[in-house]
Amino acid sequence: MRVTVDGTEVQVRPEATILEACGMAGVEIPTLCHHPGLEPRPSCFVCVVRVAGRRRLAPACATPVEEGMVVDASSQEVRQARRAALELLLSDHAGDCVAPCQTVCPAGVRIPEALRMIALGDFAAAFRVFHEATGLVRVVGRLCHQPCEQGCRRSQHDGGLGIRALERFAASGEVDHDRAAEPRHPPVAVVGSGATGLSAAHHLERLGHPVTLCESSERLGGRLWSRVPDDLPAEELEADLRGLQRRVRARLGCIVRGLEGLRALLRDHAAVLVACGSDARAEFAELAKTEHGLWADRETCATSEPGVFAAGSAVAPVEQVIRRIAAGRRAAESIHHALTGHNSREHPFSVHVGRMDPVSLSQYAAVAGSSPRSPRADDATATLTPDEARTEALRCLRCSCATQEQCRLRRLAIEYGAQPSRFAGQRRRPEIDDTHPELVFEPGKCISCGICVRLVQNDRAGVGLTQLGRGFDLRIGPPIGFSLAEALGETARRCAEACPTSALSLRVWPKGVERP
Amino acid sequence: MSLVEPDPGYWAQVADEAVARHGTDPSGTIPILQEIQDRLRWLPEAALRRVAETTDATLADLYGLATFYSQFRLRPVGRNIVSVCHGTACHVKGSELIEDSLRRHLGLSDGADTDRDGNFTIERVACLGCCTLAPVVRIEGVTYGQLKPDTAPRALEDFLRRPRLRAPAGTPAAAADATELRIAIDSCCAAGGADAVHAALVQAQRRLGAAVSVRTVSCTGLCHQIPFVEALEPNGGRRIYAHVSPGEAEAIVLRHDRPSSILSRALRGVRLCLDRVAGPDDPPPWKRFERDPQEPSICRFVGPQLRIATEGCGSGDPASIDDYERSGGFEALRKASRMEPDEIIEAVERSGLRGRGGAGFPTGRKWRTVRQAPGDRKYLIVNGDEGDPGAFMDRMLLESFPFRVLEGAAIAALAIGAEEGVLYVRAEYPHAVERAFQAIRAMEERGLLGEDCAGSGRAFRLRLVRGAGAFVCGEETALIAALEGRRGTPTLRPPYPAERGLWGRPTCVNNVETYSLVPWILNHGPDAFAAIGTEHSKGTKVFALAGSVRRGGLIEVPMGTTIRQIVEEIGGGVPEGRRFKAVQIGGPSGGCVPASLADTPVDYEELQKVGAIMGSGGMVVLDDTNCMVDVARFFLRFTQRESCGQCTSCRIGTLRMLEVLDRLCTGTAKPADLDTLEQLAAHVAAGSLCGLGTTAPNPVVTSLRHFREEYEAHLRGECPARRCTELIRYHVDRTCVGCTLCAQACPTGAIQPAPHQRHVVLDDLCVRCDACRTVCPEQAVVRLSPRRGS
Repeated sequence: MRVTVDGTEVQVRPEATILEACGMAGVEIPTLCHHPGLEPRPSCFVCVVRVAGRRRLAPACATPVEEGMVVDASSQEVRQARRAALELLLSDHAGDCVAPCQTVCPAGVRIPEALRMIALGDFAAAFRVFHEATGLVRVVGRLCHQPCEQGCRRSQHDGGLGIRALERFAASGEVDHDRAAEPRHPPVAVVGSGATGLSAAHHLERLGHPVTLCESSERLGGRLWSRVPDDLPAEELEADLRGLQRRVRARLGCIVRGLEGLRALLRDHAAVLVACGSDARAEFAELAKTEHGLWADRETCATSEPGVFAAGSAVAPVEQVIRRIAAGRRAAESIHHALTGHNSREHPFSVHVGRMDPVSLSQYAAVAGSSPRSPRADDATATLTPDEARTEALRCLRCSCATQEQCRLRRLAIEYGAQPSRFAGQRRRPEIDDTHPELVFEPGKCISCGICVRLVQNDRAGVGLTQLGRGFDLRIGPPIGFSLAEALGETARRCAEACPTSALSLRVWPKGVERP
Repeated sequence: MSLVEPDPGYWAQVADEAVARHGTDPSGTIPILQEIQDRLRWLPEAALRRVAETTDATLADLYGLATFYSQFRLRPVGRNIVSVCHGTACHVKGSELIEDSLRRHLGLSDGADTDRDGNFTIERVACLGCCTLAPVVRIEGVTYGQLKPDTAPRALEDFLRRPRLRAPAGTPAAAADATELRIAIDSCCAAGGADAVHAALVQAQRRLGAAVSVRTVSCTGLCHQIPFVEALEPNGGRRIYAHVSPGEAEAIVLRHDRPSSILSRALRGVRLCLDRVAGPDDPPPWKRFERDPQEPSICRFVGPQLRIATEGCGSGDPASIDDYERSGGFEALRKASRMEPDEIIEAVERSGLRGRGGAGFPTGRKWRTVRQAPGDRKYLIVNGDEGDPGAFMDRMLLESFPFRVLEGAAIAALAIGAEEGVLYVRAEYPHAVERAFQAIRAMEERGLLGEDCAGSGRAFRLRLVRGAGAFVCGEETALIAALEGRRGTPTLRPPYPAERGLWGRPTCVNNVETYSLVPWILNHGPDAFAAIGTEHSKGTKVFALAGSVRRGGLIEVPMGTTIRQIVEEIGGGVPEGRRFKAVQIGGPSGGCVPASLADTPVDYEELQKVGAIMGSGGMVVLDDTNCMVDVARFFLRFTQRESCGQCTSCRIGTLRMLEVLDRLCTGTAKPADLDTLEQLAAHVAAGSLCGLGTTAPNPVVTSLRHFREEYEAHLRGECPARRCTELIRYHVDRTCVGCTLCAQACPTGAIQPAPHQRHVVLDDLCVRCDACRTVCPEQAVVRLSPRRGS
């Protein structure tokens, strides 16, 4: 049969669906409820296409082709319909993609991942997660004002997790020495080695740029030294600096004077980042200024001088260390983008559950166990023991989506620019079922596609999953009175792998009851 | 009888018996659950486990079904179920206020539905199909109509006290020259008191030994006149009595008694005299309710109508196959049994008959497709799953004209070559189920159904299946899913059921009314049918006319009749003091036709042009006290509750639309919400599989199109119809005479009694039950909107 998809004519077998025809025409169609090997049962409607001559949009996954069919799979109308379907699904999706602790962290530390590593006992991996985000694990472990702990959902229940104490713990053990990344991009100079400059240097180096760190004094660290020794032992700061110094070229006592000095640096560097704090406004007076400091574009961090960027207190005073670190990271990513065209900034897309009702909250807390927040987490000088650390990490409510990166709903939402809040309204309750040995079931994240129901049905392995209720209240779950394990039987893993969201996911955390 | 003590052993036994009756294959699953619930009143887990052990169904399947169909209950209930109807007609006449009043009376808090004594359980039902008696509730088979918020609880008391009125069995033989008293006692007439009148007539006739015969007949359609008795005198004279009460039965019997013997004649004279003596000043009771058949109001109701599907209404006994046969019944079927299938299909094609279920697909073409589809096994389905709130045509046809429907189905079966068929009737219509069941039996006994259908040499076996409470099962693919024992979830078409339907075989699905028109076409010829109606819409259409009209009822009009004719001539217009505003046609899939477009004719295409649809035939008249936003919200709430939940846009999108309408009706909407509403409407219509989803936005879209200013008023916190409770407040104006009736009616003490003084409504206590306004003899209680402000 001949079918035309977006102007491309293809020959397909007569029983084929439009989805197959699109595949042959090289037009990618998004799907959620479609699963290879199962009879199509269209429900999600993100695969819709326009078939010429038909009144309604057709779900490509289930619509059989007809001779001479003309399919429009990419028009504005079709894309908008897909976006609306995604937005409706997101409006009833009770799960955070990114956990609130990470969302509130200015530096974007992947806190849930680090906590999970500690809970699993892989402390070195936890250190790497913390380190990747800041390069200054010991400094952050001492000086951060811990917005994450207020953001932690458990703080609404019985005290947020001691995240800063866990970061300090992660840095206390035998950790990997920093290894330099393969330099493969143009070199960059960073002027100033306070928190902003150090963080920028760390990220630029990580992204593959050889970095020259210019510091006017005789030691790196800038304003961080003002916190020594009251809040930060000198050896801790020195340890972080040593790690960085192995990866970047530090020019101590190097004074960059005015625009001329910057231009001189630009001769052998592709870009210069001014990160020397509030002195910058006076030092580089030739650049455009604001009343707070140098002028820099919010998005790109570029100043009025080509090739020169500025960040941190050089632009406007920033008090908290973690915010200065975040500014350095942001600048590094901007410079990297400017020099390579590659966007390394992590996509901030997330569904946000927001405040959780007490019933759901206690359900998640029950899975995470009832231990109270460790009192030693509040002692800024104490270092937790490994057992204490694991106990504390296990308190995590697992808000963060376990399959964030694989989630097809999220991927499509990003691709189609769907806004989770466009159709906000009544929503299902966040729920968690942690009884299965291998899987975690979170019905709040289910999009009722029924792939799991059909897989179990075909296998006749367990009692079966069932669709309960109808309409908006439609839920998928075991028959009343049965456990997930009884319902899924041997098909459990395949269900989790096939689930388009993380409603059914393979367990990545230790089971709640396994305490160290 | 309800079992108070859990008795799993007994439950399992009931399950075993149900399985034994309905078999172990999937088509028996829903009937098994229905039987268990009929006997136990709910579905205990022990019973479900037993069914899963003994049939092909898994426990997952059973819970999937039990939670999909609204009829099933997984919790025990009180001794008596109070079904509060929330159909369209009931809604526009205040069913929410009725439910509130009943709940208050039973002391039910939010979430609870059974009172503390376990006497009553309140259930919401989508529609009981007694629209002309709105608002109605049904308590265990007894229907109470025309309720008011302040007096509704009396229905509960009445039910507990109620003596079981039953007509003595057997119709007494009467002399051929005796007067025949005819009364229709179909479910809505019965709800209006006709069964009590019938029983009283029979009793009076027995006691007096009167020479009259009392007969039950098919629906007259004169729902606004019930209980309705027609006297057919031997000399051909007709007298009709409207709004008869049981106390008046004896007088009617006496009046028409023509005793043959001298003795009885003398006795009768004495009796009549005694009556006079007992109350010389009282006029004879029949004067109050006697109607002249030539009276203009009845002429105008009957005049523009043309009866094809409801031919012979009000004459024969609907349960009697003899009466049907005497009036020419089964002639068409016998004719068809001698015709070639293609001849039958040609006739139907030439008649121009289109499906009466709503979409209007040409019936002949559908039959031809099924006939020509490959395969030797084909099925026929009679779709009697009339779920539209505000519609009761199919119920009336099945109750009053069951043989005509079945005759039409049998003709269709011969035409398409189906040997097996299913009549699917919604469970909310117990009377129709019973009638149809008996009618099938009677036809089988006469050889009109069964192995040799009407002597054609071909078999047609028809069985009856009860629906289990899901509006979406009116959609053909969902209906088929239900018959196959699955959740009633529609599937993508094509393939259409005509090609691949029940059990994967070619299946002809038509609506009850469609089949009921077929015998007439064969009897009178297709050209006679095609001569009626408009260019593309032929024949007649049955409507359930209800809402704000003086003469509601079941009507049948030729296609092309205008809406204005229906409302004003047949219906007699809106009640005194009200203004005709719109007509809602087609229920939740249809739309509102504003009064300004009332000259639109009943015609598939013309109605579509103004945004409505023909639909199955619900027609609810709205006046200026009906809020268009509220009506749109009503329908959307209906579709949202009835959505099967498969398609994203229907499952979530209809709720999002409903939320916007909720915000409008509570005064919390923002101007941007109207845009969101329109975007959602477009998306839901485009992105759903079945008719329920794609048409769900229609009530909103049409009212936005014709009554946008009402939506905008709601944005300002004002309800022009004074209907949305959050946007109004009650106020007693200066005409108050201080009679205290309002204070007595107020359930919350928001009005304190103050004899001879002007009363005051305390807004904080007022629950807006409307009781004060209803009882006020001076119309001094008014509703103001917006609520805030002066």
